[in-house]
Amino acid sequence: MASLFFTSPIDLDIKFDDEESRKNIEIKSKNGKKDNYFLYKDGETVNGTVRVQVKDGKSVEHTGIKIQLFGTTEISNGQKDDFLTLSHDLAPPSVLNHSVTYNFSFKDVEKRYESYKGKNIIVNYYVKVTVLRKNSDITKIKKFWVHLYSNPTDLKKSIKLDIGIENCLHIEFEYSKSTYGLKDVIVGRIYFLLTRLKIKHMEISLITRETVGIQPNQLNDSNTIRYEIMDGSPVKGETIPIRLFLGGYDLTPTSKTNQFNVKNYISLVIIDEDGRRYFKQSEIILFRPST
Amino acid sequence: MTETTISPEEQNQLLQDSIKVIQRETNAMRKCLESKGRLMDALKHASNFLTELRASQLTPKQYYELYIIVYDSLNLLAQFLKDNHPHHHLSDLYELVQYAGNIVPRLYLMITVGTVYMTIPDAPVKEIMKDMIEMCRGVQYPIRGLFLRYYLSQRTKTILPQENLDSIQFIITNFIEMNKLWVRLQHQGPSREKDKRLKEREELKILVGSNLVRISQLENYDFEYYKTDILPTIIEQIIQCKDVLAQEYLLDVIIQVFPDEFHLKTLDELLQCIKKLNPAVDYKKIFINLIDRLTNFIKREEITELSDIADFNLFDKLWDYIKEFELINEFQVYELNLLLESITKLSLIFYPKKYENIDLVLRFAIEKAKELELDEQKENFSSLLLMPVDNLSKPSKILKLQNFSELLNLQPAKVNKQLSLIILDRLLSQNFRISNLQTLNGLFSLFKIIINDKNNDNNANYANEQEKIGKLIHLISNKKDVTIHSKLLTQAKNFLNGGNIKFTYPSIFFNTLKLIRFNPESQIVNSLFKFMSRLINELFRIGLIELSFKLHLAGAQLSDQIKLEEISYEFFAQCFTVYEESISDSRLQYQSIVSIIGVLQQTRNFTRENYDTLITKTALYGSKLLKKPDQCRSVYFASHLWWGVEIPALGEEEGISEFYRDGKRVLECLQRALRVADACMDSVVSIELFIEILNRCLYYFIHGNENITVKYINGLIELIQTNVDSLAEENNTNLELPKKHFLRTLDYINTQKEIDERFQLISR
Repeated sequence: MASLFFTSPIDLDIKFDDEESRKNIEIKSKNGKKDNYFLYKDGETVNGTVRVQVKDGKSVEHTGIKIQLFGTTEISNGQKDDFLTLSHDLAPPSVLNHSVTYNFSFKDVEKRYESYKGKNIIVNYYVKVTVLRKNSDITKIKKFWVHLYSNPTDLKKSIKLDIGIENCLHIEFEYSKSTYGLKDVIVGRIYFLLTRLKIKHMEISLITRETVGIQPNQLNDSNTIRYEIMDGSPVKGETIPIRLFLGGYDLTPTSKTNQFNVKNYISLVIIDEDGRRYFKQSEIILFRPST
Repeated sequence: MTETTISPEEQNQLLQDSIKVIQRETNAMRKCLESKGRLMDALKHASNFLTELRASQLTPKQYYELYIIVYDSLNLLAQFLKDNHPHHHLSDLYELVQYAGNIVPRLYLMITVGTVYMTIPDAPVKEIMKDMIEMCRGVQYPIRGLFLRYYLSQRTKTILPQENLDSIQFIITNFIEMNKLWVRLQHQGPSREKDKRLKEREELKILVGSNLVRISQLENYDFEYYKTDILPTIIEQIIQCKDVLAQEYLLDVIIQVFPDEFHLKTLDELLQCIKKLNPAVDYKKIFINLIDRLTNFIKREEITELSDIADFNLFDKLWDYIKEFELINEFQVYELNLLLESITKLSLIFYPKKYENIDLVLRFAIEKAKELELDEQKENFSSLLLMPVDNLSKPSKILKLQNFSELLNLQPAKVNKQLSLIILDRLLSQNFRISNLQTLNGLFSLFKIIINDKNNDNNANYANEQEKIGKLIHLISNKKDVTIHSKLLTQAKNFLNGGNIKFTYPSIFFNTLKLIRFNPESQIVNSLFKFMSRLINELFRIGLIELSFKLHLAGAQLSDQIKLEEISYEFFAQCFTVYEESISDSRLQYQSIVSIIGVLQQTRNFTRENYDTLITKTALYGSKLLKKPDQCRSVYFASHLWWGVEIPALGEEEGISEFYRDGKRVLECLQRALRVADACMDSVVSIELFIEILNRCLYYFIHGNENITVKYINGLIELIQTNVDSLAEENNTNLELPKKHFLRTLDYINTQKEIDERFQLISR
């Protein structure tokens, strides 16, 4: 806040190493603009430089300079929590009268969560440099983005369900897997054993549900992608194929933390001619594959 | 469907709105395609116009209209993709278009991209084909699904691989799915609109059938594959769908599009299939189509060698089937008739000489005709009966069919007669002779119904019909053996005596007469004359006086010509008897006398005595006629009986041959005629008769009868002139004709004066 009222006598600039070669990610911000962040993964060392530049001939007294790395969650009700705090001192108390560049390095940082920007919760990572002074500290932060990669081994497990409404509808459906990478394709089929329903169409919905906190103060949000897979009413014995490419959508891997979790569901929805909806929802695990 | 039915106006409005959207979005798409790097936007517009194909309230025709416009628009897109494919990776694009949220636009785009993709070298053609056809399952709404699959079919038409069977399986799969959708259309919506839907389906059938046409056009396969794979699969689908319209239509398509050789060799399969169809299907129609197709095949190929097709045992196979088929169905006669007609035609074409096949069919029809009720409209076997008549090498060959006439006679009388008349016409138009008893019996029993027709229903064509039998009788002939010919005539008479002999006996009579004329030396001539006499007597007995008289006279003439005096005399005697006893009408009497005179004058073989008896009697009859003019004319005609002239056909020549002549008797006749003429009360009539007598006189004068003198002729001319003059004052218009006649006669005399000097002496 102080910097709003006083011109800071020094400029701070944080640079990550290998910024030229590091992968960038584009994230939509609230006001619709797109921000670019450097991308890190779990266990990766975060190192870089801080340049402290003193403005024309001034000298600045400080009680020390430190660099910190934060992982924070920020809930829409205002609650904030740092789940990760790392700190290094860059310089002991002294007087600065010329520009100095410091190297910093957070070795093998364990990043528990992915960076996330949901409706009710945001997971942020950033490094923060602080020049400590008697009256007001001078700080500068730089955000970065974290992706967690995984390669689950039980990919083969398919989802098979046999559901129905007595004397009205009986279907069997199958998704080839229950766990999908974000660029995967959901493949499946629906087999109609009995159908007396006048079906108008059938779609699958891909639902991402974010849950924050615990009952009774839980906050929920979900995001749905709808995809029509059948037009009209099939007859008994008909098999309808399902294929949904995931790569084109902006999806969030399934994740679970103490504070919040993100779950993904696939829901088969049948809409009859009177507009009634019949659906069956199954959870699927989405992950970010490492390659 | 819960969709409320909407009015045609609203439907049309929907259509117009959709067309506008499609046109607008197509234009937008075209602009994007023309600018660089805007393919994604172009696809977006394409997706927009494709959304219009999600319509569900249009009639099939209206939907088709939309489809056509969309097809053209997608063509633009496909052409662009083809031209630009190195820039746009088609496999990526194929995936990309699948993000479309709605299935109908998505699949149209997929097919559009996929089919362009297939044309690129090294494209995974088989996988693309499989994927597209599999994904199309997502559209289960009948009309939309049908058109989508039709689009798939149209797009792939020219690019399916030629070298393997995948393409065929691809089309077959599409066919099966389309058929299912098409059949399902029938079961949508309220049952009261059943007929409307049937009509709509009728309009859509070609979409389904086009697949079979496609298969038939491919050259990827051989007969073996057709028999073991293609046909069974199609047939299974046809049977399974149980739908009447589909079964009728699709079987017909199969029959029409695949080669005839295939049908010949897969006959069992086809017949088995027909057996398993929905009972409501018009089996016969299909069956008949099949048979006709096979029949025409032989016609087209002009296969004359039976051996080529004998192996198939075609007739037996089909025939067994018909019998079996008949057991499980209750046929109307007309249906049976059509069925039997087609198999008959097939047999006639394939096995033209196997009469036993036809007899088998006819026998079957006979049994049915006895069981079922026939009528005059359509419940009869008329076209079956006409089939051999029209298709045997000669109509008369129908006599080789043992069961033909039995079946004919089982038809309702009116039908029987109509058919008999047609058959009779065909026979008469053909050049043939009835030369043996078998043929005669066959034909005459065939036409029993015409022969025995007594015209109780006052048919206006009756005489015409009977005349045809007369013509038939004239076909009886055996040039080699008189006895056989005569037996044929006797047998014909036996057939005819139950009918109206007035029309038919004269034909037998004259046929006999002709037989005698050509065989005058034959030993049976006498009995033939007696036969003729019997014919005449039978006619006489039923009151045909005039006819009997004429026939007697004809008999008399012929018997004289072949020098059978006794017989001839007898015939003349019969003429006189009839004349005396039965002819009472004066006009007829006169005519009869004139006829007798004509014949008698030409006889050559009577003894003088017999001749004198006959001519004297004739002249006497003439002189006894009631009316004076008749008397007069009979008498002057009778004069010729005493003045024979040459008959060049007999080799006679005036001046060389001897003739029976008695000039004195001639003159007597003329004088007598003149007296009778003079006795007429009407002077005009007298004058006319005088002139006629004058003409007779001139005739004899020319022919050298010296009893007719110039003086006599002059006297006659004067007599006539005097009478004419005396009447001229009366200004009688009736006199005009006799006057002209007189003048012409006088003119004639004048012209004769120049060539015959004897005429110089005639006064005028």
